[in-house]
Amino acid sequence: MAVSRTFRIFRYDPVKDPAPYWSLFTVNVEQGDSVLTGLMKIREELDGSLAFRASCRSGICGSDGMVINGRSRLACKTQVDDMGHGEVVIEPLRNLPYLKDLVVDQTPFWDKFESVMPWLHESTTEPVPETERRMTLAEDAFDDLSKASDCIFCQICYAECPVNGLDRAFIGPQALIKAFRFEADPRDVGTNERVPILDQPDGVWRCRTTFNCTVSCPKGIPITKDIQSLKREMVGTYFHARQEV
Amino acid sequence: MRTQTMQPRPRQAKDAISSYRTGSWAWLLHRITGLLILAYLYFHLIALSSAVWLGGMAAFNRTVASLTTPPFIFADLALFAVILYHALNGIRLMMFDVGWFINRQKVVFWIMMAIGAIILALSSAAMLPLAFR
Amino acid sequence: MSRYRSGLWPWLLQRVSALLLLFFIVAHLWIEHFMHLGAPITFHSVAVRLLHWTYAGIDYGLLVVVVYHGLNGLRSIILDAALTPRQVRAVTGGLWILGVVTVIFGINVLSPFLWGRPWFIV
Repeated sequence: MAVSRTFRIFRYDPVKDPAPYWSLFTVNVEQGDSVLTGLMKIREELDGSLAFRASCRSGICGSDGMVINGRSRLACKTQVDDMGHGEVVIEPLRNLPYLKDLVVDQTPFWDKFESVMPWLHESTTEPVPETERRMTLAEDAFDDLSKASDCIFCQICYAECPVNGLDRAFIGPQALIKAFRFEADPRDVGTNERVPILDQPDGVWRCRTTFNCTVSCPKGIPITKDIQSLKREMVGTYFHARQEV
Repeated sequence: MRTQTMQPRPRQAKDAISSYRTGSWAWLLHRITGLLILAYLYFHLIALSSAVWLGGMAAFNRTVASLTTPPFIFADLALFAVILYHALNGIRLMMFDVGWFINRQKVVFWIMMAIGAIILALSSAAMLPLAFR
Repeated sequence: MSRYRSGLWPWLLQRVSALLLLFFIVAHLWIEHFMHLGAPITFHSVAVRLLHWTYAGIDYGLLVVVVYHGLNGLRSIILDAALTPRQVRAVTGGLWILGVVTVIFGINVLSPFLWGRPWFIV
């Protein structure tokens, strides 16, 4: 049974609008429809100029993170029925500059993600013939880092972190769990390169364990837990390195 | 079917409030109580030193006697509540630094608050009779 | 070792000072409020108590630790304003000076009880 619902959407077109404004749209949604379905209906039936990011519609690509009724969520994983009986209020993600309507500028996020060198640094001291090479990972180590590798880059943790809201230079939860994912990997030897990035004033120590990232992560990654493990590992490496010197 | 209205974008402060949850409120309160305690520390040192340095023994005794009057006992308990919050939430945060109960942060917060309420009630029971004797 | 810029130390020492503070503040509050509940505090009673090094030690220890913990916490709040490295150094240096001044000031709050006058009034 279709119900008529009102969407209040943040609008801004840098080419023609002097300031952002709200658009109100009323569309019919079926029971179980996602917010993303509503947005697509609006774009198809009412206003083709509405800009938002979306791709897979099933919570895998991480494109459609947005603020829905005050909280950052994936539009495809949020049902309109769960948003109460009033208006569905949709805004672009926080802590990132907005470009057009619900589309934000993701550059700061990706720059910080890249800064932690999120790839496997191979050991060069023990050359193994390429045919013999088996980069297998022990099962218990896999358990530690498997959740962190579930990340879909939706940027919701980055947008919900109150520390990122205060200090835009903070590296953010996502870059930190990616650093953790490789630091926790026994095959990785990149600690020497990553530590100067993580130990900066805007690095791992700036995390204040507010748990906003963990609570809002649509993939259920224990982000704060992983960041805390990273901190403990950093303290361990620091004193270990001192002993060796 | 389509209506369009012009309104300014909501402010960042409103955004912050709608995104705050237990953990982030605990963090904000931790900061506020920390700043209050730091301000009190300076008040404490200046009040004591001005009494002993400028007035000596008699002035100190007068100051301390005035501190046991009802308004100051209530202020003392309020200060104690602030310190108690900062201490208990601090213990909670250090537990997470070690990794204990990190998947139960919300429950841990409310357990800490319950412990704080009990300690505050017990110390009020000990202190308040002094205000009314 | 050199690859660390030691952003770790303020974080780690904040935890260490917090643990010490838990001990000192409980001791301080217990001594001042509950050990002799109802007995009036006078200049004389404080002076007698401070003659024992444990009590003086608790007060001086509390002073140093609370000033470090408080000003380090203030520093981390100020740093959330996204400062430049130069500003961070200025804030850190300024707070260190403030901390040392506060500790010297605080030590002298108790010196009249111990030897009759503050250090700097000879």
